[in-house]
Amino acid sequence: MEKKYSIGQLTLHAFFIIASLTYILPFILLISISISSEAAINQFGYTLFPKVIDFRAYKEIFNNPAQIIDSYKVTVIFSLLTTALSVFVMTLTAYPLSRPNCKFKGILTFYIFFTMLFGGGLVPSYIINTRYLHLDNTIWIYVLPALVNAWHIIIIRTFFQGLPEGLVEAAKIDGASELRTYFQIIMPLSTPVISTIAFFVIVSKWNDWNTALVYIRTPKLYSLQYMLQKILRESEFVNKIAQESSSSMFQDYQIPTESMRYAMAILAAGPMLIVFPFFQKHFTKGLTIGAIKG
Amino acid sequence: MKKYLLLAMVMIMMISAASCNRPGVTSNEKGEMVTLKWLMPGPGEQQDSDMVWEEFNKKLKTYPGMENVQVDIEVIPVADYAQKYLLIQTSGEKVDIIQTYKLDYILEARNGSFMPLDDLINKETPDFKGQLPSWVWDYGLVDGETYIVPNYQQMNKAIWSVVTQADLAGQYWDVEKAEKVFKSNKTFNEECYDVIEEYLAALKDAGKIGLGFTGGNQSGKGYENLVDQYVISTYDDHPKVYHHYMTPETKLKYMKVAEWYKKGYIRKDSLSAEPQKDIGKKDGYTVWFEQTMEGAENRLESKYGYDLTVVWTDDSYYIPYICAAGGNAIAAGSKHPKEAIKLIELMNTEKGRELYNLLVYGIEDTHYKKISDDKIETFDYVGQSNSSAKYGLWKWIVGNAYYAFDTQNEIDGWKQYIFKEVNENGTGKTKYSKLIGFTPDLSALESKIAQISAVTGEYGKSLGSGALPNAEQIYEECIAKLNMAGNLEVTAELQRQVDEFLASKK
Repeated sequence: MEKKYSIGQLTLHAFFIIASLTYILPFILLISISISSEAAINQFGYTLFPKVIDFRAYKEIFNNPAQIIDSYKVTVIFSLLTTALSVFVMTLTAYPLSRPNCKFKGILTFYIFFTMLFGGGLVPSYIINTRYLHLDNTIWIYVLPALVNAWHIIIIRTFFQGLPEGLVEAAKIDGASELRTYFQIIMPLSTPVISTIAFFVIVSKWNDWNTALVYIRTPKLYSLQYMLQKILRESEFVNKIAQESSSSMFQDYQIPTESMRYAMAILAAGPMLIVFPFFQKHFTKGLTIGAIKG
Repeated sequence: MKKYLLLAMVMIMMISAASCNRPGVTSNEKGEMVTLKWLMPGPGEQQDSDMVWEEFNKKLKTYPGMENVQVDIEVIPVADYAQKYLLIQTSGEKVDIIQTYKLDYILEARNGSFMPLDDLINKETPDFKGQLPSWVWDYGLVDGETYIVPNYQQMNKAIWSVVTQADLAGQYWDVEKAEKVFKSNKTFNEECYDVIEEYLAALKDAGKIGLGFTGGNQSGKGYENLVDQYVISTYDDHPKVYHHYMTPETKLKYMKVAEWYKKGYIRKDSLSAEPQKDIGKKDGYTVWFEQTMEGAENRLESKYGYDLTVVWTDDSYYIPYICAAGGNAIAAGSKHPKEAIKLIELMNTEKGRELYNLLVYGIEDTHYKKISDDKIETFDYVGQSNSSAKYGLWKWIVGNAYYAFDTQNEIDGWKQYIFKEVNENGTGKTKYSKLIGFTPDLSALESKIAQISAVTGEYGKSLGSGALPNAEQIYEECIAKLNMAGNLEVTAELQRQVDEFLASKK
């Protein structure tokens, strides 16, 4: 059988193979380090295939599984909840703004856009969220402030503007109410943009550790990433202090081993790796929003 | 459709309103029950924290004057403490007692966030002042008034000792002579480096140089930290302020390191290497520095796993003016200062010893095993507890470390040695800083200090590695940049404040 590959094709294949490797190899390294023994790491450094396989890092982490299970639970709940609510609220906001007959469209759009320009910072948000809304130390602090993002609303609005006007007109003629038009005609056609926005939101919520740092006090409500960050920040802090004055304070402090840090990274990032392929189909379609209109 | 939307909105609002119930933060709920809120840094909330604190509150009621007091303790992970404290303060949350580790307690006191304690102590806990040495109380002074109850623990400045493999030292070094040289010199000067160079040269000739020499803060001998970036000389009758790069000893250190790099006593990749990773390895560095004290050599040996020769560089102990651990302060807006100061007294004196150990170590047989009257064996951790232990707070945050049990990590008799011989000058070899009680005013200098620290960040690693071929030139460049960033003004101002303080003490 003859297989003819032109030079051009071969170059292209080679390029993409190398590019893919640069994405895949770090992951393999990540997995490999997390199952290497600490002694092997000290001796041989990071290797692509573990020289000595040792699941001690995972055993140590799961030694106290209550914290990890709690964090996983909390993170999954608020990620899904935020995604669902957020998509619902934002699409509902964007739809009227995309209709040409919306009365205060200009002012409202500007009002939403204006919030992207600057904000008050951490302290005012903290004061509002804790003193007036009493959201601190509850799961709602993860959900409510993250529900609306001006940039996402503009993306959705642009998409809605790209849908054929004729559809809406036809629905009106047939006597559908505005809401019915929205839910039964517009929404089913918007799966690309909904998947895209849902993906953005779920990835940002899954990786959110700043909220837990600032607002959460009880370990039961720590998000997964914050739990990871806490251990790493602690050991960074201790290393810094070891350089400073009195030595008696942090002597013999047990710093997590290299393999344990990578095991934590896998536990935290793993689910995202699994979820992403499902979004891929809609994601690629959503990416071309704004590139082609109509 | 509309109905469902409305219902959903109402439900969300109701759920969020229902979640704003934090137990234990109210006071005066059950009659005259007083609740104190205590904020401290530590390993964060642990698995058994609630259980231990409940027990603590039960035991607290058995102490005279504390029958209707309960304490709501909050332990914030230490790395986040400063930031979280700022947020708590700005949002106006009510706290009673605040531990000040890693907080700028001087600034807080001057801003009025803390309550002045002298009158309160004299009225409510008159015996308290006599229970700690007076110079310890001086640590808590801000502008002449007591604002924090300092945590009493090992106070002396860390001594950097020269460490090397025992077998090599035995063959190639005159250790006794080296020790004499180090101890007889007030600072780490030329003579000290010469005696190390003799050793390094002998090692190199024998082909056993290994990774060579790596430095520590040996140039800090004879100086103590004044404020961030600045040190003050301690061997002078009249202390002089320097930027820590500008002391003659620091310049010597950088020049020596450059010289030794050329002679081959320092690893060739010192610019990119991370020294911490290789310290202590058997085929690693042959001369390095460790912060350790006479009597604690075994610790190092068991840490690294082979015999070491540790050469002490200082014969005396120095108690610096900076109180590293901070102390417990009472918030200015606290409604129960009487109960607060009584609680702090219990954590720092003999009469509250049992309660203090309960708070630090937890419950006997659940979190530790008692070996003798004052010695215990902790279960989940060795030394200092961390967030994965079931329970354990840090004794030097909670109160007076002298009253804490000795754990399996402490050498027998070490605590007595540290507190009685070193801290309280039982041996006569302890020197106390002339500046204890000094509280610098950095308000006009902050931006300059930030710029200065940017310069040191730029040059620190490269000068310290010795790999620069034109080290002297780079050093002069660094000094010039420091002066441009405002170093001369800062040094002059700090010197002025120090002189003023010393004059007022006389």
